[in-house]
Amino acid sequence: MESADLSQHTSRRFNEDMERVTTRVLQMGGFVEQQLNRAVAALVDGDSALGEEVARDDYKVNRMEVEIDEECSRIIATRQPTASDLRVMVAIIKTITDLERIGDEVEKVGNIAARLATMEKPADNYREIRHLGRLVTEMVHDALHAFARFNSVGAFVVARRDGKVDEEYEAV
Amino acid sequence: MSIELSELRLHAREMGTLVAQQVETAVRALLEADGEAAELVLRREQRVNAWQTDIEAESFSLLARQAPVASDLRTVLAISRAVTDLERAGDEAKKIARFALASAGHGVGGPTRVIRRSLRHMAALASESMRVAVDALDRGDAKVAQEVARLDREIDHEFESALRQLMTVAMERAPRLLKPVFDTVFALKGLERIGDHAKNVAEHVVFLVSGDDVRHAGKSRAVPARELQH
Repeated sequence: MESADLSQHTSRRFNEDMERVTTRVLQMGGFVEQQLNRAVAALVDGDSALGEEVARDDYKVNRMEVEIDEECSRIIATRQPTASDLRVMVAIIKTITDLERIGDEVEKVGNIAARLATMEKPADNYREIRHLGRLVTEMVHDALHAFARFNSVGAFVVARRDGKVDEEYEAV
Repeated sequence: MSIELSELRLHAREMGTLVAQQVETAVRALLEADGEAAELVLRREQRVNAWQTDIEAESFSLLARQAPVASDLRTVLAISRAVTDLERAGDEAKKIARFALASAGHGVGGPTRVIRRSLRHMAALASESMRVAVDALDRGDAKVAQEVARLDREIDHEFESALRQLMTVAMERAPRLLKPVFDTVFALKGLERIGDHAKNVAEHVVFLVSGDDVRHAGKSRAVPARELQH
């Protein structure tokens, strides 16, 4: 009885941890998406101040990655999650790695936008860049949306419950 | 340290050595217009991908079954992450090999010839830093990070210098628009990479939901690395 209480307690703590971490991942993703939008705008509008600002703000993305990463390591070490929970943690760690790299690329686009702003625009007015920018922005948005949807419908809890159901099924 | 963890480190090291070789061979293929070397890189790329799939499965199984803590946990996490970078470095080598293959028929081309010294130097630096880094990962030696950072600065420096040489050459034909053209190319390149990363994020979500590793699906992921080696 006592051990059942304890495991419930651990499980609730883990859920709280997960909720906090996934919220932060979504915040990080939202910020990266905003950076991307601003970098493309800086480029096509020839706005050098905006390009510089985007490049300067990349440190915020890096900081978020480090913080979330540390939090994940802490959760894995202290809660010793089960296989299905662990899968979620690993996916989060990989996701923030990619978000951070997107941030790095955006920083480069921001720097280039700042440099190009003083030049004459090409004849097609960056038509290709606009198009490509729209495509990748959509991809980043959709990927984050998939993550958010998985989170918001309580799917983490569902996935965990599913793991428990499996365990119980095996016990029977 | 468990046997599984030692094996994991060893495998990461083997994958890293393979990637370093890929970089060297790809640049040699480019410099010597050697189509066979380029094809070798493209074939070995399947092994790099297979290593990634295998090592990540090993890491996950280790985390799930042994619940490592402290430095063992950090090692497993660091290896999982390093493997992602190794695979991406391998991808870049593959792209160089494709470029080499496409231009192999025409002999060593103009711009490539102009910066051949830089290319050779950058390839040597890149593969060396890869070897140093995976060696450090295997031995758990954080001190060499500075050495790798130094090599990276040297690569960046060489990159800038190669870019200047290229611009000088091209400037003789196309005047003042050249710099913007180059910059636009890099912007495009950055955007193209972002698309790749977004795809990765989506694939992590697939893994998260189903446990299925969908990367390299439809390519050669069914072939385990160890079989491909022979």
